[in-house]
Amino acid sequence: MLFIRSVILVIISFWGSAPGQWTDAAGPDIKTIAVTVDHPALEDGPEEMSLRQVFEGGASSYFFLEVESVLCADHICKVVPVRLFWDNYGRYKRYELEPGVELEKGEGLPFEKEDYEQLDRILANEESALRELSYADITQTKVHGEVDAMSGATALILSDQESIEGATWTCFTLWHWVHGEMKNKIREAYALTLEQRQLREMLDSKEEEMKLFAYESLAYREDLEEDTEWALLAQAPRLTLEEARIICTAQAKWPLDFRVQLSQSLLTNPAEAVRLISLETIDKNEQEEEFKPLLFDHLETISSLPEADKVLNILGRYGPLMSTEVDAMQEILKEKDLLITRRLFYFLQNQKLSASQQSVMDDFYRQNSHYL
Amino acid sequence: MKRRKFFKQTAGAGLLSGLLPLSIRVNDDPVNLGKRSNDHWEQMGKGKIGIPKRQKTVQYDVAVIGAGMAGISAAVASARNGAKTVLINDRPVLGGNASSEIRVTVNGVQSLQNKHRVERETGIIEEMLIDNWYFNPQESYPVWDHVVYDYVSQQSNLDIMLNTQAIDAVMHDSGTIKSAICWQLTTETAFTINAKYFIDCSGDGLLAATAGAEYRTGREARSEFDESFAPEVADGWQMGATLMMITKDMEKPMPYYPPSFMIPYQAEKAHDRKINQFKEGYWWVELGSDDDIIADQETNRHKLMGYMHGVWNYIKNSGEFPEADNLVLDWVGSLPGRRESRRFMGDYILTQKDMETYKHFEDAIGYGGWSLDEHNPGGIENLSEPPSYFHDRFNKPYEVPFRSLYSKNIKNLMFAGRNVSVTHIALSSTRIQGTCALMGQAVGTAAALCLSHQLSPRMLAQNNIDLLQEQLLRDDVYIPNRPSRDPKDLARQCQVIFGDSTATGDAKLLLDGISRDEIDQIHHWSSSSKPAQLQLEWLEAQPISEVLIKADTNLQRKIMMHKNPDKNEEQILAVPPELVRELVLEARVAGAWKEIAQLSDNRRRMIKLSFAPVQTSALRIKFKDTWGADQVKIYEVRCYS
Ligand SMILES: Cc1cc2nc3c(=O)[nH]c(=O)nc-3n(C[C@H](O)[C@H](O)[C@H](O)COP(=O)(O)OP(=O)(O)OC[C@H]3O[C@@H](n4cnc5c(N)ncnc54)[C@H](O)[C@@H]3O)c2cc1C
Repeated sequence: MLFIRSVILVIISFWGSAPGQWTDAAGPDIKTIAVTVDHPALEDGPEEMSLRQVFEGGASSYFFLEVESVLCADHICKVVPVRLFWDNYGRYKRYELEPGVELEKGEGLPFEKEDYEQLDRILANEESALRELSYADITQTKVHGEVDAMSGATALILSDQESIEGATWTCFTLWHWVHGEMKNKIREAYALTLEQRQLREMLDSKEEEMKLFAYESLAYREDLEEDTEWALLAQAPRLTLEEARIICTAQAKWPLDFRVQLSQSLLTNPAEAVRLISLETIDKNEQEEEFKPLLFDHLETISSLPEADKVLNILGRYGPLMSTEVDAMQEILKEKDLLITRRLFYFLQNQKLSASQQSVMDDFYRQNSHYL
Repeated sequence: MKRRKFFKQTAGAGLLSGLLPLSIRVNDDPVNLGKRSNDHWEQMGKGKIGIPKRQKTVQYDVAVIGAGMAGISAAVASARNGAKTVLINDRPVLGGNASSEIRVTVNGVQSLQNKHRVERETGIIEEMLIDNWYFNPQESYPVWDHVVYDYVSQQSNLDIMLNTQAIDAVMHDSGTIKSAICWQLTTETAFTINAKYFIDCSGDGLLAATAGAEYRTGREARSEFDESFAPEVADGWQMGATLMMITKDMEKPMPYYPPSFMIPYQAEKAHDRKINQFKEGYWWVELGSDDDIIADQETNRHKLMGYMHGVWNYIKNSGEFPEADNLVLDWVGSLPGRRESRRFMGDYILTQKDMETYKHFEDAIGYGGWSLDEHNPGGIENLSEPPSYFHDRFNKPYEVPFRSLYSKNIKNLMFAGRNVSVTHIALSSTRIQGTCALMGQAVGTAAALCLSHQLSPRMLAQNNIDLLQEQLLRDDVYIPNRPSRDPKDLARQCQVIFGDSTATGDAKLLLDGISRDEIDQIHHWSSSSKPAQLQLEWLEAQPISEVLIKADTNLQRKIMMHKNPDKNEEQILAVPPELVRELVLEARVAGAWKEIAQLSDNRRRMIKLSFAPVQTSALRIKFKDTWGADQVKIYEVRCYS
């Protein structure tokens, strides 16, 4: 999922002598959520952790998690607690240290002011090369095949902007907490606190990330409120491919009559890819004839072979056409471009045809024999 | 980096041969090699006295000398593209440094500083590596030899000659090579191999050298090509040769008694030589030369055997490594693997600068991207310096030009692998076997094209480079910044291409001439489930007899075999699960779909379906299964008449 990166510049005031603000870990407005999450540096697999959701004015405002600065098997490095903060959508906001506590680089050197700022920038970068590094890359410098005894090999994989010299483990550990499985856990937790009404409002948001979140959250719900159904029907003609994908995957859990209406609405979307996904979804339903009328309607407006092919494949499964349906299709035979009409012609060839219908076919054949 | 002095003392043997003139030498009496008169051979079976007359003359279009990854790729490409080819190797097995005799990991472009850390080589090298997981998931090196032998010996148009060394060249008056004189040691036979084109992939390049092809050894001065990692003044440095080993765990303490030729390892003096694993030996058990590495080879081999046992003795008997108590040597190398000797000069010399600036070559035929990893020739005798000057890493692949792969002065001679026209600093990256194999496929393909179009390699480079590039792209080689635009590809003329579902990418991208995803640029179509189907539709019927598909093998994941199973961590030890395993091809004839080809247990990224010509306005490919993945991902579809 696309992440709209909003690098939040934090004024970090918790190092040196300045007294820091260490967010309360408990309180009336703080909910503790037990989550089981994995991290590439956890040797024994996923661990249970306490994610905190902070409410402000009754609404979920942000999340935080307390982790250790380094997950380090041999415990040669100093470990301090670090709090990581995300917004409701699982986007990184900032980190915090307990007042008076410092992060360390190699050989016991404390972080400098620039290092703290650098760490914040690294954590804000979802695309960091840290994603591709494995724990082994960092701990055993065997990143380089033949030259596996070279010291400092990781520094050569990560550019200066992507690591802090002597603190690659810290960067790696924290980055993978920030951008790992926790993001989805947060989104799920946030979604649970929202009413369908609130999700519907988000559908009109200007922020794509928020819209996607709303679609994702609705996709989990089986019982859609009537207003939600209306909202989805209204959105369908302008959904992006990514949004349409979320909705189409969810469709199976929704009632048939709503699915039919939704498909109809999706088929008016100007993007061919969206219409195709909608047709794929109908295709998966196999036997449900309720879609037949809308497929016939759609055939009339079709302008591309992939869609025509898909529609005819589905229609073919409903059994032989009625004579009126053949007539309707033969109308189209006269109008569309040859790639589509040829497909239609081959489709009709296998239907039971009246004499007049057959003569339409013969005419078509005569006119286009070169292409058939 | 200082020029080392100590070789001066041991270079006596090398000096003499260094004084020999390098002028063109034509073999005076080539047949002399197998001439016999003094045998007293009583052939009991025949009841006669005989003289063994073991001299043979054979005729090929293309002769490839040396069967490392470069030579194998060259020979297979040449034969596949229609030239009658022979592959000559002086060892009993194929594979060169990658064979069970030496056991160097077949690495390729990796550790790039980019979203694609790995940019795997496709084409012939990939086919062998995938075959290896199919036949040899147990990662046995001797079995790998047979996997390679199986792959090469299946190729029609191609003969293999093992235990056969090319030792001299016979020249035409025109200055081209007429024959390679070879000695096959197992049959005591002297072979005269006549060929129209010769490709020297032997690493050391004895044939090319005796033909008088210009070559260099040592390091270029920094000023010559403006290479920042080159020395101020040119010198003789040649990266060394290494003996590897493999250990096994006996699950109880085991003693180690070193052999008499062991040379103690002076760990306290060693710089940057880490012993952080005990499985696969140490690449820094290495010795080079700063004069004549070929002359030094046997002296170095003896010493390397001693040094290798010295390191193991240190591990087992110094008391520093209790982790190694239960370990024993299971395999030890006796034939040092070589990194550098002769570099033959082409019309172009690839340099550090070209690589670091990612220079675009109109005649690019492949790419590299291993770091600039220049080993110190003093190796284990020069412990105060690091074993490799590990200069720099690349962000993306650099291009390799065809003009670096043929001789500037011998018209019918090409080369590929570690002996090509690159500077010493450039070789510190291009020597990696994945890169060598791409060069091999390029020269093999070039030889076949030169033959069919009656061209010299230089003419091909200067006037017909599109021919070569298009054939390579068709045969699943990737050339950065050179998409295919093959006018013969009928798929490009289709009106519509579409899949029955699309999870990512777009079926139209299968015709864009780039058959892999590039950084931030997608070139694939992926279905959302399997089975899946792709359809191509033309307005008018096309005559089609071949369909080529480039499927997914995940080029960002490594697939080589390792001596050390720890290095398998992020690999899949099987045929890539993404790869299409089973498919059916159908053509629409008179409105009805008809099966025209099918394939099961496919192991190739490049799927080639050949069939009796059909006249059709639509094709559909039904992908029935993969080797595990739930979706079908494809990078290219081509159709030919
Ligand atoms: C210990 C070591 C570690 C290395 N590490 C890596 C690594 O991790 N990954 C990597 O990819 N590369 C590595 N390299 C480099 C790589 O192995 C070589 O650069 C590469 O093998 C060169 O390939 P080639 O095909 O040109 O030659 P080779 O692999 O050397 O093959 C040449 C073949 O030609 C034969 N031959 C030679 N002369 C004649 C003749 N006159 N007639 C007939 N046959 C002849 C040889 O016996 C051999 O079989 C390493 C090298 C060494 C030695």
